[in-house]
Amino acid sequence: MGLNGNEMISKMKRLSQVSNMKQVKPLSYALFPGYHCPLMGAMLTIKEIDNSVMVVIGPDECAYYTKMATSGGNMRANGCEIVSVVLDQHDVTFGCQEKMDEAFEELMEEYNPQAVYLVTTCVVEVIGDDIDAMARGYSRQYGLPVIVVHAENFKTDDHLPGIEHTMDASIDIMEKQEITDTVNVLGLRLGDFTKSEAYRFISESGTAVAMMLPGKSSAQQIKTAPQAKCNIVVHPVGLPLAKEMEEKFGTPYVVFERYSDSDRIYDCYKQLFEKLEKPMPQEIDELYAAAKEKTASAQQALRGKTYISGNTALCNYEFHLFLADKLGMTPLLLQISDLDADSDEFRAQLLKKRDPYITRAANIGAMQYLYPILKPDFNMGAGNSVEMRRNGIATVRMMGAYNTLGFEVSDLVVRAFIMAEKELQMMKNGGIHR
Amino acid sequence: MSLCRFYPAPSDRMAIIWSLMPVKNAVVLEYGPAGTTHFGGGLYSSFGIELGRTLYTTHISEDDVIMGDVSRLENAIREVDAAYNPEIIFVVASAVIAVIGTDIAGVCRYMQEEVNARLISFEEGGFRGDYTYGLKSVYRMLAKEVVQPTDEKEKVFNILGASLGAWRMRSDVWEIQQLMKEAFGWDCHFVMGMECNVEDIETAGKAAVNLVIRNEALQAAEIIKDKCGTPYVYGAPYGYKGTLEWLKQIAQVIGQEINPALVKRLEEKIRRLMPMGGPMAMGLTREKPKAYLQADYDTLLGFKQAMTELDIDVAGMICSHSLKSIEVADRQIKHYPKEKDRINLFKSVKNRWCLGSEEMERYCGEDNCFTLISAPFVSRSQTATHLPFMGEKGMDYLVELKSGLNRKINI
Repeated sequence: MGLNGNEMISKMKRLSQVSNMKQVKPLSYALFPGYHCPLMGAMLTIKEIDNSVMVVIGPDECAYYTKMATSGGNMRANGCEIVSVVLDQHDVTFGCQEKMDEAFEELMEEYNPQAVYLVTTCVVEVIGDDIDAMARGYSRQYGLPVIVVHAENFKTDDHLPGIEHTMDASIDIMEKQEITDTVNVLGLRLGDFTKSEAYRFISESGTAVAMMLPGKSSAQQIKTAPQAKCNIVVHPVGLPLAKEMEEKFGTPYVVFERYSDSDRIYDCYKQLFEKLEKPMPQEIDELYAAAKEKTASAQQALRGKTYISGNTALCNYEFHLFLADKLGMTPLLLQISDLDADSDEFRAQLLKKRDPYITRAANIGAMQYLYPILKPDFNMGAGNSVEMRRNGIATVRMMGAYNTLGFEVSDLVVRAFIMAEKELQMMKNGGIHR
Repeated sequence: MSLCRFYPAPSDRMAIIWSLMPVKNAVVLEYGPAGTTHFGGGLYSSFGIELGRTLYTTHISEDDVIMGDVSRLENAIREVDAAYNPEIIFVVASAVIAVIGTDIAGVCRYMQEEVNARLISFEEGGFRGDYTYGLKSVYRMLAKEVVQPTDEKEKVFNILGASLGAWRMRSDVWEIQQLMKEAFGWDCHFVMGMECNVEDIETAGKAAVNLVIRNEALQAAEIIKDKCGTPYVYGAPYGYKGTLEWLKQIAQVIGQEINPALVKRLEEKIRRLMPMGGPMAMGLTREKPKAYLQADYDTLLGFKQAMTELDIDVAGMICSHSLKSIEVADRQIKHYPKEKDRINLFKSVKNRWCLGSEEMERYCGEDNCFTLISAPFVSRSQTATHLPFMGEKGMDYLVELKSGLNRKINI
């Protein structure tokens, strides 16, 4: 009983055969657990903004789950109040303006926020209530920024648009500033930038971080973000805002994603310190040389190994290019949620080396039926650990990847694969029970 | 309801899903955006429900929403049927599907010819009412569509209305099963709303009695009564007296005496609860403690009984859901649809034993004594399945809690 892995493979496309996400098919029509929605992306971003209120506008369920997710654990709301306006049959038929007015008055009385984010959901977008007009009205009436984040789930297959739209819309809060010796970090979805190698180099050079979005911030920090000498874009979700800030305030930006290849990392540092108009620390050259050496050494052990991969915390296609090009490995199957234009070049380079199968991410239940067919050496990302072990697949664990940026990423990747290779050998030798 | 600061009452759709997921060899297939399913998994697993091979989503795109394309649903039904061979596929509409009015019942009708599994659809989508409407809908459907007619009876019972969305429901069910075993030597055949097989539901008619522990299951009990001739007893055992009365009702229906040892033990506990001087002395020697209750309707009725036995005045009872579907509601029980009104009420409560949800806990002041008895309980995990509020053991626990009240609240 279960899905037919051979049939799935026969219907699956290779990376070279697709140019947009509509062409990328899921492993199965019935998904579990399924993709995250943009509402979650918006929530992850707004929950960290001090003195703000996030208003979820939608059915009970969206309100309930957002509150539940932010009530405890590592997604707990941190400085932001998460509230909702719950729509019923009457609102769906006649519109929610009246309810929104009453709710807005209540939230202003109780929280006196510096910014309010109105986050829509599928139902609101389908019935077409003009939340943007309401937001403009509240902004005028109460004299504060009221930002609308459109977070319907039926136009997207993951939560990233929710982050991107939240960031993008936040430009309405920003005001022209005097330039200071600061940077903004844009697009850090999860993790703590202050724990990263890049942060150490920036702060040691005397430059401060003015604003991180997503990240711990405040309405005031967002307002004064144009003071930064430059924006560091650590993930493509931050790119639209970086481009808008460059256009509106003249803030330059550097794309410095969580790259694995030391050449690329070195180039990012170079660009960054040029923008900061400061000399690049000598230690960066030393780390560069060490990273190149480690990669060359790891290639001996990893060349020819195969893997399947889900979403990672890294710059996805650059990471696979690094594994194929610099470590000599072969990706058999990539589970993806995007074919973003920013990664076109990485995909083109990867295709010169390998042409893996591709499918949509977040369908863990179905993946297990491919283990015995593809027989990879390694798996990255979520999966059925029991089935993986039964099939002799070692797990690549990149713990703490969200807190890294710089050569430490390259080091983390190499170490994780070397560890997984040891696990693989132990499984083959019977040292680990399968 | 306008601004919601805490949790709204769960929707009908949420209750439908959490009540159907525990049915083994069946699959719940959501037709809607995947984000809701992903998010919802957290809630359902907090109720102790297994997620593996019980819940799937089709996800939807603009094509489904704008063009009414249902091919995703058709393909998912075919795939689930072929891959997992379930006896039933419950197809549940999402909120957005309900709004655009996709005819999923129609899709299920024509797809039925292609698949082996029975297809049963739910089109509520979250807009027909709160979770009590969902519970009612599921129980009614299971009784109507799945329970098979039979005249044969065995000395077993069913429990109808055990919603996993209620705090400590598994413990309460365990207590009922213990009581029925000790009182009559009877085993439980199946619990509607908790882990069971499709076959258990199909053969529910062989039980000699149905125990209906919340009103939402009354229609289901009536349907089974008509179909299989199974009588039912409505009510839940709270308090020592309440438990004994409940057992007496069952004894009358099934025509069997209650185990005298159990009767004796309960009577002894009832006697011990009385202050010196007997019933007439209750409440005379000191100011009676006062309790405020917030829970589902039937839980409120049960706790009211327990509080009366404990010689505690019930100062207020707040129902967690709409009372629209309760035919003749207890006059003391109120529902406040506006969260602000509830919060103001909780904030005004002083020196009371507050028994309710985490919402009540958050807003009632520290000069009250709080006990969690109802949902939402999202910051707690449920581990025990042997710590009930119902029955003898539940009352033992409440007696102990009461003994510590004087030290905590200023009476």
